[in-house]
Amino acid sequence: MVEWSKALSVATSGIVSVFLALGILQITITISGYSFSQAQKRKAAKIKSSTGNMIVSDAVISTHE
Amino acid sequence: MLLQQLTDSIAGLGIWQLTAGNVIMWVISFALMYLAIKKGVEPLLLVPISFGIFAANFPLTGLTGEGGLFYLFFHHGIETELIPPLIFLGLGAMTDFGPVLANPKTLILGAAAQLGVYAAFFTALLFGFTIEEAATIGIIGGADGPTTIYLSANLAPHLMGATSVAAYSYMALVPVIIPPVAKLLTTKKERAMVMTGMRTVSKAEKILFPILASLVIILLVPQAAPLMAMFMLGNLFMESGVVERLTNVSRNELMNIVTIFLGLGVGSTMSAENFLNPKTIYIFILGVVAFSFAAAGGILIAKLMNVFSKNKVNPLIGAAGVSAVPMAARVVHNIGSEANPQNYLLMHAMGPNVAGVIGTAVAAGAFIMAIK
Repeated sequence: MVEWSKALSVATSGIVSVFLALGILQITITISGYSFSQAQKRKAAKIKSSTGNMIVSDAVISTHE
Repeated sequence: MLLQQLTDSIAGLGIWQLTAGNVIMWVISFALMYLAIKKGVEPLLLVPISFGIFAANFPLTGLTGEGGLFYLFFHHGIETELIPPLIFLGLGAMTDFGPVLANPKTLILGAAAQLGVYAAFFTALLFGFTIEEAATIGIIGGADGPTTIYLSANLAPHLMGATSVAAYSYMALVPVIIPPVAKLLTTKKERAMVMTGMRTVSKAEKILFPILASLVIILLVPQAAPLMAMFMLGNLFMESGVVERLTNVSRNELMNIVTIFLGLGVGSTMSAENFLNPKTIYIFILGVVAFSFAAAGGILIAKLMNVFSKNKVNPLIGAAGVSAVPMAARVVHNIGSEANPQNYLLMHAMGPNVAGVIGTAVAAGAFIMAIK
């Protein structure tokens, strides 16, 4: 004789656990991915601006020359 | 005296003890050997399993009795739940989570494919199996051999032979099972949908992932820890790039050694009295139910996600949520490119594919948590 109420609770808790675990993991890696890409963008912008300054200063030097 | 010894020796020959059941099991083992060697069906596992069945069904050998060689493989390797996590270590050291990190919502598709596990669980209960047995049969739908063996060792060791052979055989049948389900549940327009390119994932993200995944999953489902911890450790070995020797030994030597013990241990459980009963046939039927519903679950949830999401996914990739890495992803890619030759779904399908491995391990942990 199958205990249907127990079976139902086993399945419900299982489905909830699977979706909860993978759902929270999805949110976690979305946030961490966003943070990483923002950090990369900031780093790229910083490099770009410092390269730009170098070009400007080079141009200034060459004008003076 | 001499005559008596001779008579005793002849009477002690194994051949007199051979039963029809032993012979039938040999035929089954030869069929599995044929599939593995001639047809290339999961040969790494099916060759040792089939030979294990063959050797375990010789009478009077004591191989599977307490203290016998195969008993030792089974008892120390499988009953103690040691080998499946070691296999997961090797799998982790081979898995690239880049597609999941590039498109995190594929994790939900990996979860959705576990619906097949629960569909088979309820169907197995209708067939008269106990809750423990039904859970072990249901997990076949995850298409993950080591997880099936792990759960079986925990809940229904007497079904281990049938469930593991069903899981490994059906993994090889993914190209047969997924296409009809996928074509039934999607339109040609949906199958032809081209997905945009994926973003590049940094090395730092890949290194962080196994730590984050362990934190989230083990805190929520502690019973999944043996599989998840080893899976993520193997992945950290690979992604860190600083322990090449450990990465290589995990995915090569160690994996190969434990695969031999796993195969022989599983094969040794398949004695005639254990295997030759109607339950085995039901398990194989339920395996198809589990696989089909797993593919269907992934596709339907992908379609549902598309209703609410701006960045739509090709619903076919949901079917790759049945683990079977990377075969399920390849099958999905082929169905997609059949509908539209410009369609390249392989990397997109790898996301749900590897997410499915995590999902199945979580489902197994949840079963242990709720039942044991």
